[in-house]
Amino acid sequence: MKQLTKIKENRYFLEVFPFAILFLLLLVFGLGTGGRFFAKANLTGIFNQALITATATIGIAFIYTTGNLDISIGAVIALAATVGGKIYLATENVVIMILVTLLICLALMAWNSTLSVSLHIKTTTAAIVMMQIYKAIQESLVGAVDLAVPFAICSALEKSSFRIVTLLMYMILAIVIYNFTPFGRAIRFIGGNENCATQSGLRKSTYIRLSFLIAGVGVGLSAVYTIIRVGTITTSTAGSMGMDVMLATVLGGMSIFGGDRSKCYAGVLGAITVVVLNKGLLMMGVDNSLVQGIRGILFLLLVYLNSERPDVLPTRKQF
Amino acid sequence: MNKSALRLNMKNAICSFCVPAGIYLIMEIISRVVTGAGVINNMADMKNLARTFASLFCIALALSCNLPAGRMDFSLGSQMILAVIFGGNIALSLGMGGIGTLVLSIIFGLVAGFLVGVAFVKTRIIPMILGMGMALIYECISFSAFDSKGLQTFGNSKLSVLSNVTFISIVVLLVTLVMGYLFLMSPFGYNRKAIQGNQRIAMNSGINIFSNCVICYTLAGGLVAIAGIFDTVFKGNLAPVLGMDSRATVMGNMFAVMLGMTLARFSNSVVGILMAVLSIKILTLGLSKLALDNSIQTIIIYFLFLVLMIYRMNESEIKAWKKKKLRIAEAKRIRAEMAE
Repeated sequence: MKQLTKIKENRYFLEVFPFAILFLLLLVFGLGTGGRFFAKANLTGIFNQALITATATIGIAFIYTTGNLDISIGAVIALAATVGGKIYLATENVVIMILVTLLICLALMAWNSTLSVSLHIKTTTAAIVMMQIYKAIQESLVGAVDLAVPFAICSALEKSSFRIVTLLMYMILAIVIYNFTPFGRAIRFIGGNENCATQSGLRKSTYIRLSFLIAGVGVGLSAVYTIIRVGTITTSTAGSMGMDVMLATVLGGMSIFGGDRSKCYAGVLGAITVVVLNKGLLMMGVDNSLVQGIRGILFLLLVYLNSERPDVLPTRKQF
Repeated sequence: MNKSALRLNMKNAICSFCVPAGIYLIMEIISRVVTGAGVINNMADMKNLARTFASLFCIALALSCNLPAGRMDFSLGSQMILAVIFGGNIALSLGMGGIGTLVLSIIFGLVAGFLVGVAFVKTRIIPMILGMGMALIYECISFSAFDSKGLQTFGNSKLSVLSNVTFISIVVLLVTLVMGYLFLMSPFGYNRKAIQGNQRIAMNSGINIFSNCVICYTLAGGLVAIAGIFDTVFKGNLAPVLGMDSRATVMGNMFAVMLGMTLARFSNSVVGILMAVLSIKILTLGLSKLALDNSIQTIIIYFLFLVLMIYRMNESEIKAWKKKKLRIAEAKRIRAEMAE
């Protein structure tokens, strides 16, 4: 146990650990599948799947850094994608569809932050309530028949450079804001010690609000990518996104408890690791339910390694 | 008991009962205006109310074991599924009846809850995160067991006692008494309240916060197992789920705990939750009588939840604002009097 704690507290542990995990997984799955894992089609599939989670995770890192947890991402993406899909079917204009989807995400994230900052509801509780409401609205919008955006449009957008260009632009912007601006330093300070940050004169509410808005752009892009990738929007669209984002964050080597150990690029690495883990296990013939169990154990192990052990029980009063 | 205490008790009892009675009255009027029939028209409605009430009441009590202490356990739904699938299938294969199935499910629920509690105390990972991880593991176990068939109870005459309203009422009464004793009158309950107030002070004063926490998790596991078995018998089957779908049990029933904690100020936590669950069940029954779509019902219920949350979290500000308003009115009145 002492040895484990010593390793955990090493300053380079969090920098090296996510890369080591990804390398180990690639090695195991490469050998386990006889090289089939590195086939072009499989790698393209991994990229396409990781893209959606990675974009959302980069954005959500801004919220996690402030010490808040928003688990309503899946419902936000589903609702925005549904409205975006409906708009496309009504206007047949891709630009309007993308803009509306982004705006919906921004508006929903802004509302979530208002509940938390202005109306003093804890972020997690607000997310739980709003998640149910967003999901119910999405269900009634989708109705009995699934919403299908024409395949030709989705395929054209998938083949174009749209996704890579927007992801790179967003990622570079996020890294610059996060690492090289007073804003990035401020949110890390708030996540590390809220009271100290407030007493140092930082306006916590403004920073949290802005964090939600930056996250909203990432979640919005993720919703657009969901429409492009899936094409058909159902009531189960983006259902596990909240959990995937959390898992990607942890696997990427970022603490979901915020503070100075946070880094926004962790999501990209984590998202690739999540998809590699899922695909690799399935390709090795592991049952789908067992894949989930392994994900659960790995998730808990990584959170444990990534968190400090307090002398009392960690609690967060919700109301 | 002196007169003022008696008056206060009477006032509190009326206030506690006012919420379900008020909701019933409102829904009855709306239902009669819209459909021409009341909320509860026949024995079937009554039975429906009793069965769903028992499940929600147990889940709300399970949530309230940990939630007031700042521990939101997302694994409760998966504990319920695991306990019912294992307890139910093993009991049925051993030829046990309804009571045996219930008892075995409770045992599995207690074990599942105990394991989460121990994991929490040992790892000290934030409860919500730990709950998510444990839910993934428990869902995997429930899904892999018994050929992924879950538990089938439809048409099983041995389990008919579990859908008997009298039996359900007895179980609800027993749960109320046991939880009432544990939460309100036992040393465990006093310690739990102290921990809710301030964990560190409680620990420094000699309370074992770790064992108290494990007991809370264990009790919650047992309670969700009771809820799960009643719900399964009512619906006819329980299918295992994957992808964290089990967390809906927690998210879908938080309103009851929140309302219960609000109503608890007029009585105690157990009676508060009882009244809250009754109110929500009447509301749900009333909305379904209006033939509203499921998603519309969810939007209405969660909108009310949101309003209650906003009120609860800003209660002191609202009170201060009201006082300020009164003070301004008083000042204006005095100034007007002086001017005259």
